[in-house]
Amino acid sequence: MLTDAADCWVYGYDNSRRQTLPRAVVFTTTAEQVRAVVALCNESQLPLTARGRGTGTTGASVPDSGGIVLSLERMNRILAIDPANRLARVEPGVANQDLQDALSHHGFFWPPDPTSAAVCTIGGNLAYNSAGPRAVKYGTPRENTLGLSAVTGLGIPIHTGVNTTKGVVGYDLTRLIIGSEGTLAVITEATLKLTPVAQGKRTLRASYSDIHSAAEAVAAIMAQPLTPCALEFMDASAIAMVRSFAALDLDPQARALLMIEVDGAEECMQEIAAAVSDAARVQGLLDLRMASDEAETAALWRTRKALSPALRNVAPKKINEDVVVPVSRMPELIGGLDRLSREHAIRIVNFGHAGNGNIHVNLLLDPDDPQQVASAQTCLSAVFDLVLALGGTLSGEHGVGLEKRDFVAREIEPATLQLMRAIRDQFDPNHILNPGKCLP
Amino acid sequence: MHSPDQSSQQRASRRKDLARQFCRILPTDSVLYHEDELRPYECDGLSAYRRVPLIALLPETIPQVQETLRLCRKLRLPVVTRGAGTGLSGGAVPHEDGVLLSLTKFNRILQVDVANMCARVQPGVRNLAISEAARPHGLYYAPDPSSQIACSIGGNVAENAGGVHCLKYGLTVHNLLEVTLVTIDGEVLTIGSGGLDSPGYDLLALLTGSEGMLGVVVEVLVKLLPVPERAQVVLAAYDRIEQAGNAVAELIAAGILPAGLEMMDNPAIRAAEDFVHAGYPTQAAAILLCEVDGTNAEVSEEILRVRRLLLASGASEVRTARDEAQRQRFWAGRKSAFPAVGRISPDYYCMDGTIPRKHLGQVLREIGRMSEEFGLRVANVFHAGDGNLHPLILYDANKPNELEQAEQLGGKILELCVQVGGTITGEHGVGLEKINQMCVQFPPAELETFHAVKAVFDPETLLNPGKAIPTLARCAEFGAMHVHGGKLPFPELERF
Ligand SMILES: Cc1cc2nc3c(=O)[nH]c(=O)nc-3n(C[C@H](O)[C@H](O)[C@H](O)COP(=O)(O)OP(=O)(O)OC[C@H]3O[C@@H](n4cnc5c(N)ncnc54)[C@H](O)[C@@H]3O)c2cc1C
Ligand SMILES: Cc1cc2nc3c(=O)[nH]c(=O)nc-3n(C[C@H](O)[C@H](O)[C@H](O)COP(=O)(O)OP(=O)(O)OC[C@H]3O[C@@H](n4cnc5c(N)ncnc54)[C@H](O)[C@@H]3O)c2cc1C
Repeated sequence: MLTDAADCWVYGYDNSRRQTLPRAVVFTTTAEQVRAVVALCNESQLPLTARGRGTGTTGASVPDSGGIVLSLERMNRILAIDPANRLARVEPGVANQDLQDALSHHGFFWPPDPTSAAVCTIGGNLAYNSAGPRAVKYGTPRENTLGLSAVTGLGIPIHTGVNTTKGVVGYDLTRLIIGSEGTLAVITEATLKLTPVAQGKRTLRASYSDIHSAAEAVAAIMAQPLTPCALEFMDASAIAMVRSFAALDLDPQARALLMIEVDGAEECMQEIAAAVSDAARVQGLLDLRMASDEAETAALWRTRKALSPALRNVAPKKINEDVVVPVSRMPELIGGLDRLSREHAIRIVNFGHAGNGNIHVNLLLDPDDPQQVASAQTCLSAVFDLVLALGGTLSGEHGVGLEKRDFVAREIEPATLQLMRAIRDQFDPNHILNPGKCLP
Repeated sequence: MHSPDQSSQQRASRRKDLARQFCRILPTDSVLYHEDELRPYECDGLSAYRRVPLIALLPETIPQVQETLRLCRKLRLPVVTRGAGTGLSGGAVPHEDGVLLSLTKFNRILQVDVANMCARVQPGVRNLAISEAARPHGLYYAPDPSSQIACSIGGNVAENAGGVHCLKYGLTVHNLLEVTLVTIDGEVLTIGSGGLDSPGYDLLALLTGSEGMLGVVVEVLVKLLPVPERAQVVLAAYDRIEQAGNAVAELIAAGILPAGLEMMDNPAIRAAEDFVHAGYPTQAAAILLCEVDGTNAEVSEEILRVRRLLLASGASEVRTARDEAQRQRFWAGRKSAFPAVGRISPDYYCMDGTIPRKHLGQVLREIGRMSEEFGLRVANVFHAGDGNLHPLILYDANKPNELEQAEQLGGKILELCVQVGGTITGEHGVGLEKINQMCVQFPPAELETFHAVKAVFDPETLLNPGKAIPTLARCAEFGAMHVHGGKLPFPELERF
């Protein structure tokens, strides 16, 4: 346990750049210790925030000042890997990448692949329902978790789910806890469903003259049976930014870009790549390339990978949103964002996981310019209204935390929110678990 | 004490009184209250349990469902929702003093959205009808319970139904986007969204599989998938049942993800062969049906691997379906196995325990032993790839004691499933039938969590009371029956 302010300070922030000072940081090593800590907090009505590695981008692991942080980083053992039953049992503090490395020896992987995999924990992935490009084919933590051990806000240990790939007994508490951002229970163990690694993989890059053609290609790709394992998208503003940052071998007319990756048995790759290419060939296609070796694959990804450094280079601050719209509404979303960008004089750069309509909307601004900060806020609010008007949702993978909490009520009806609050009251009547997060 | 006549008279007048009240909010032909009109609703697919409701209501619109539930709440009337009544765990069995709410009139497909690959349907639509409507667009709805020609999508949501193809494509919960629900207060809630994920708790998953205990599903948005280019099935025969069980574990561990992986034992093979002439080897102790789908090349490649593995696992014969007609025949045997077993025994009792796959061989042998011990035949035909067993216990309800014996044997089988780390139901739900076994699978803390969730939606427990989640008092009673020498059943069980 840490109580020194200097030690505690580093457990008081996450990637949202918010920070508070917790009263203490507690490190547990067993589920029984977690139970005891939660029970104690419940008795003394002390707020408790579970923490993986604090890589979250919406402030969900930023503690209540005066409360304590329960760090799970020392519960980092992989307890079992069971290929015959396609499952693994892990403690919550295992880093995503460490698990993937261990599984790869058995020819398996766990599908959720946030870009932060090297650092972020399974517990954090589950609590946020975090995912990455692979979700389009393999799903999010919700689809890839069989069961949990957890401690509710009352300090009661529960076990949810089943050891089997199927099971319909009782309510689905596993999925209820996944994505609840540490507000219902602290996860102490997870049983994860494994997927075999495909031997073959091919990478393609397609550029289009306009967003409508790219969206049409996405719909065509998704409408054929060979779902790609990544289908990433960049809009004109993202391309323009990357272009000014690095010299890239890209058609000068390109106003939308798709990165497509397919996987499967090595023997079938040619056929699979051909089918996906056919679907990508819609009117407006400028250029379609397939990498023939590792070096070319890396070269194709360079455009997409140049984005993050370019973003950092261009603007001192970005507001990174993570919205989702039905795939067919993507052109309207991008068109609308274009309009908002002009109206509010805020540069907006869009890219993301096109296959499931999950777009990262980045508002670029200078935090020292108060007028820009203010118009960014009105612009952001208009972005959310636009997304909801298109039948979309506010968060695809980064969660709600503190950042988006106050926008949730725009999407979720009051009666449904009331139900969610009532559910939380049952798990955590004294509101000690991560108070103030997730639900408005 | 009332005489039977008196109480049936009282019941009749109570019915008339209720009918009058409900006729104010529903069309007259949507209110059924004569004993003979109510008979068809007395049971679901598990015919051992029968009850006649006080009244049956067949609303046609969402506002009618709202009004109906509001009135039920006001009158403190228990409500049991019913889809097609094909459930196998008694979930739709009516409450004697309650309303049976049938959704058969909600039978329209509202929209097939090809661009976004989804379909908006009413809950009474049959599972297969969705795939039929999507087929012209090259799409289909993946979960395919064997009852798919009859069961409703609302019932599928309530039971989180699976089927032959859910090994690869997931259960109902994995193929849903949004559900519209009416609560017992008559409030309409939209849960989930057309998009990928929505903020807040995953109420959609909570509703899926909740067996009509949290609300009434009045609209469903399902995902559609593109129809694969080709599907091919391989049949493998075994001389010993454990070999077949082990082969399943080996296929899965080798990283193969079949579209379907089904197993039948000798009694099931013979019954199916006699019934539909599927071309099964009738001497085999067990057969496996392994289907692979995808592109032409993928399927050819995968079939080779599957064949090699099956031969190595000790199969006495491995056959690949020659053409689509033979493939359909191989599946026809599997899909008609339940009615086929119905021809060789006056009654059967279908269990639904699910176990970790690597224990298949051992558990099947143990079921064989128990079958001898009880002197009741058991036919096994099931979703082997998921470890989802369906032992069919054959009995004759007209012979004294046989039903009780069958139920006891069934209970033993489920307890065995839990013992090896499995669960008492893989897809049919708990309903009335398995409510006692819930006490074996879940300790009090977990049952209390379930009740806490229930209380949030339905504090007065008017929705499907007495189903799915046992009260702790009931467990104490059931536990008492099983206490031997002061010990609880399976104290050594590793909980998970
Ligand atoms: C460079 C970078 C790239 C990223 N890329 C992605 C991406 O591609 N996709 C994506 O989805 N996210 C991404 N993220 C966000 C973040 O990494 C994920 O949300 C990750 O899952 C958080 O894990 P963590 O261990 O750091 O959790 P934390 O940030 O420590 O915690 C997150 C939430 O989980 C709760 N929590 C943690 N452990 C437990 C537990 N055991 N029980 C209960 N609650 C718990 C916390 O209370 C908090 O609410 C990225 C972040 C960075 C910095
Ligand atoms: C021959 C046969 C084969 C079968 N094979 C399979 C199989 O392979 N896989 C499988 O999973 N199941 C199978 N089943 C079981 C059954 O078909 C499924 O459980 C199915 O989902 C039930 O649908 P239903 O419309 O008949 O529901 P019902 O039996 O009418 O109801 C089932 C439950 O759902 C509730 N319910 C129904 N509609 C609603 C609604 N709109 N809102 C809220 N609650 C509702 C009811 O209250 C009840 O608790 C089989 C059954 C038979 C008879």
